[in-house]
Amino acid sequence: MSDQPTEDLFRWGNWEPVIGVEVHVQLATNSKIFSNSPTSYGAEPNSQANVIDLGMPGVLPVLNEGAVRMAITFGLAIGAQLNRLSIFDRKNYFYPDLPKGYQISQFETPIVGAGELTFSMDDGSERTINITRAHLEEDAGKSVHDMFPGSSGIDLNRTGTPLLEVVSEPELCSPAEASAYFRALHGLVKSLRICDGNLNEGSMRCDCNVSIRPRGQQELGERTEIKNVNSFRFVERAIETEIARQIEVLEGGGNIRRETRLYDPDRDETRSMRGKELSDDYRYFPDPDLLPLVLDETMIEEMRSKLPELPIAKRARFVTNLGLSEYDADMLTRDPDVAAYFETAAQHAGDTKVAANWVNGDVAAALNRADLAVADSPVDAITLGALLQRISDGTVSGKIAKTLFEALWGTPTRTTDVSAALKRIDALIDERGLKQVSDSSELQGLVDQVLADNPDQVAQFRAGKEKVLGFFVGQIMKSTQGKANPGQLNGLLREALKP
Amino acid sequence: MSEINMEKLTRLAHLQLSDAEQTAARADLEAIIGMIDTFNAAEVGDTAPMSHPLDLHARLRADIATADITRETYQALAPSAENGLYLVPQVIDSE
Repeated sequence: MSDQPTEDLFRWGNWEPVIGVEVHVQLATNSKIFSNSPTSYGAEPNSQANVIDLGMPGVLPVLNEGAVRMAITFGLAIGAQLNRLSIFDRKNYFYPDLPKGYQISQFETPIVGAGELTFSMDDGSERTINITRAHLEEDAGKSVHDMFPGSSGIDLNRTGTPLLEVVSEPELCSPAEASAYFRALHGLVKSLRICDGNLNEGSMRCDCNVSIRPRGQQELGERTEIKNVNSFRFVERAIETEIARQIEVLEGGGNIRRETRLYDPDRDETRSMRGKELSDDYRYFPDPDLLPLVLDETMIEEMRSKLPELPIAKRARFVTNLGLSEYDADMLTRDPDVAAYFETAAQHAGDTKVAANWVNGDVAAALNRADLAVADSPVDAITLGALLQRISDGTVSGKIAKTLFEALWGTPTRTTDVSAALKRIDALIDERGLKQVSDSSELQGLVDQVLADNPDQVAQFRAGKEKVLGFFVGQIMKSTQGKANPGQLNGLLREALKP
Repeated sequence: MSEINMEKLTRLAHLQLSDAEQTAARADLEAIIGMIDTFNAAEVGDTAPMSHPLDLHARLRADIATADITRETYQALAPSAENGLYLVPQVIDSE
């Protein structure tokens, strides 16, 4: 693996982008960060906001231990310094979805200090990005602007949901790199089981700080912040389009204004939201309602002992122990649910590489078409493993297996018993007459017949036109409805075609 | 802060002040800033920053959702609510 990016970083001419990313990770706690309200998504508006979330006078926040444990887990996973004492501060601003008039956050002393995240790019190169800090804070509510003329509707269910805001150093040097970083962070927090990673529901939201400077200049240019981007592709597109805009402004003699912008995917452009406040404007000060958070060494060691295998270690294991390519291993470890699905399937498949090809190929494509997560796959991992076992033991060909996969996809079941899955697949093979023809004499008969029927093609092959072999295979596959054992068939054909 | 920018402060605080009120508020703020200057003059080099006056640390709550939430009770206190949402004067994200 190389640590040198192979993408064209000179496509912006004399300009060099500098990108930093802040990701808000919604922590998968049962209750809110400072109250005992539930956090489940999709509940009736305002049915999950109690007096603390509503900012009623006289109430006091009490910190959720679950959120603290998750922050510690994250800090350990990125090799960060964990601050044994951290402080909660008030970040003051006015917006109706923030009923207290301030957000409880951590400013000067966050729970997680400097760490780093290593990830691979699509071209196989590897990058390590420094993470400045990660701090705990509460989420705000949601505003609905288009339901009531002259009014905005406020839903405070999300208010107080715990967030871990992960801030990178401005070290990302391209939109693709920023997107890969976001994807790696997504894979990491899902692996750690501290976030459900559901981007559609806003479980991870990315703010991208973008500036450009003349290549070689040390001093950073003025930056803009693109708020709340929630897909890997949009992160890449939003930054790409913002870099282009900034180049156009500067080359036209203008100045970049520090501001918050929104990305509009329909128009593929960023638009100004408001002038960006500086941190002074938020009048941060320690929250007198919350005592300093002191981390207990016992709790830290407990969380360290519970750390799961991290995506980067899993990827290395897939390459070293399972013999997978870097590409396959990377694809399989981007999402821990996919990795788990693959490992279960591979355990029963009899051939790890075939399992990797299927999970990255047919299964991924089918899930994509149906817009399903792997956890909801109609063909569970054990059933897939059983199906692949029938390829490796020669019962069916890879092509027939695809037909069987479609049939299994259409009749979803869940099993934890590979014998039951094999039984189901065998019944399907018998019922549809899909068993592979591996009988040598039967195949020999088919070979003799196809050669006798096609003397011109036989002559072409013997004259050196190797491609014609595919024609004979195709003819026999057609007559057997794809059931001829392809390996055996190739051998018999070559033997019979010898001059 | 060398000069008080009343326009910016009133915008951040979402306050609409008359000229007379602004003059009065400016005088108050200047007095407050004067006091902060006195604080700043204090020698605190050997003193660790303090975020809380009590020598205690946060107690943690178990991560269990036990809240008994009666939306109707809270919404009865609100100036306006409809379809389960609290209604406020129109706010939009873009300027």
